[in-house]
Amino acid sequence: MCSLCGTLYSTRHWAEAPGAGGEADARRAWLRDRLRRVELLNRILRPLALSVAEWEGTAYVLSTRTGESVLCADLATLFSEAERLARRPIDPLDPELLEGWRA
Amino acid sequence: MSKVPITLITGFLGSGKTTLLRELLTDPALGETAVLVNELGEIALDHHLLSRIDERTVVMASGCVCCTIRADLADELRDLEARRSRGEIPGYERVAIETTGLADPAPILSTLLTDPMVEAQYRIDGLVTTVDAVNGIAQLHSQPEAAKQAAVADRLLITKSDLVEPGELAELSRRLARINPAARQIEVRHGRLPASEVIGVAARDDDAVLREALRFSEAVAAHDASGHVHDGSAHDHRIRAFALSFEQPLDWTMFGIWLSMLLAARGEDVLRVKGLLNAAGSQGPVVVNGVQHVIHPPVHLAAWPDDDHSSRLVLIVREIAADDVERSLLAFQDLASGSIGASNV
Repeated sequence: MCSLCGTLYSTRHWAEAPGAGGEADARRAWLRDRLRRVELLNRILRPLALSVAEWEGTAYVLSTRTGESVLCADLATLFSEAERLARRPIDPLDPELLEGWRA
Repeated sequence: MSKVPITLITGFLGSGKTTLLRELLTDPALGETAVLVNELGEIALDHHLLSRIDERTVVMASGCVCCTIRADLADELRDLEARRSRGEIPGYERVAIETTGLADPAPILSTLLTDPMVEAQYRIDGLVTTVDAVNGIAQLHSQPEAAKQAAVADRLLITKSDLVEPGELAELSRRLARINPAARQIEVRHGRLPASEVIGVAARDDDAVLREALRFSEAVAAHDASGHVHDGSAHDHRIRAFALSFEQPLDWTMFGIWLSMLLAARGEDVLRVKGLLNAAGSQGPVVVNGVQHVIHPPVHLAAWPDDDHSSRLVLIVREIAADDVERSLLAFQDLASGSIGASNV
């Protein structure tokens, strides 16, 4: 599925699909994975002064330090909103972004 | 009911798509085939169904070109299935779609994978691209669409090969291997090609998925090692393929974030992604497969084929350096493990 247009379809964003495992464990594993994803997103976006919170298992809340918040249905939306709030392109190949984590 | 396989035939203007399709349709191995073409041309109808598709496209709000939904194609495929179920048309075992020479294959793949009704009834069997031996080198050099069509192909069909000198053919073959080392190149003479060469391309079960992922990464790695990709020349829209290998198991959650971020930022320039990954905590490898922003649902396999459990990631990119991708992926993994940025947690 498309990582940018994922929200427009009923199908879940590919990176958010649960891993292999029994049906009974799937929901629990999915939630655990989702919380870890939020933790990792916070580490990634910290140099850009943005933070992420989980919202009811259905969305992410992306916030600036000045309190501006936006609900994002999936990762693709989250990255495009992060660019808007940070007022700069966010590129994982950008050495500045990677260096920001060491600061 | 099993999904109907779709064979997508693309190729630059005048590269022999219609001739090839006409020839393929005479091969009983292809089976009853419904054909969707952009222009009604000289394809012999016979018993095959034929329908014309208009170039109607719906641009998504995000404005992303490769995620443009081909409304015409989705409508046509839904209509085909509806007419079949009503008994208005005979059954068919396969759909062949011939695109226009200037078509970008990404929106077509995106439509086939993301339209819920189309996805429920059809599966992509393979993308074959015809390349004209006479004009191929010039087209790859001057036409971004031609280079892209070659980069995303499963099979590269070199047409009119009987019209050029062997040296020229070898040069074209070298150029194509640089853009897409994993695609099998097949010479087509006088438009003749057994259908078996272009059908049954997509892996249908876990074993085949694994074999294909290994073959793909090995082909690209072998080409990478041969030095052809490091000649520094600015050919063919700077499209190149490279293979990266990682010994340490990858944090799968972080990998998902990283690849999503890469595709969000550089999706137009990431023509193809294929990975056989060692995801920490998973027993077997995870296979990732994508064309531009369009990522197939990852396949979690039960076991590794041998003792080599390294992650192998292949990218076909435009204007992106392998070193930058490797450095970025490792930095994201370090951030996940806490070896950098730990004080920020």
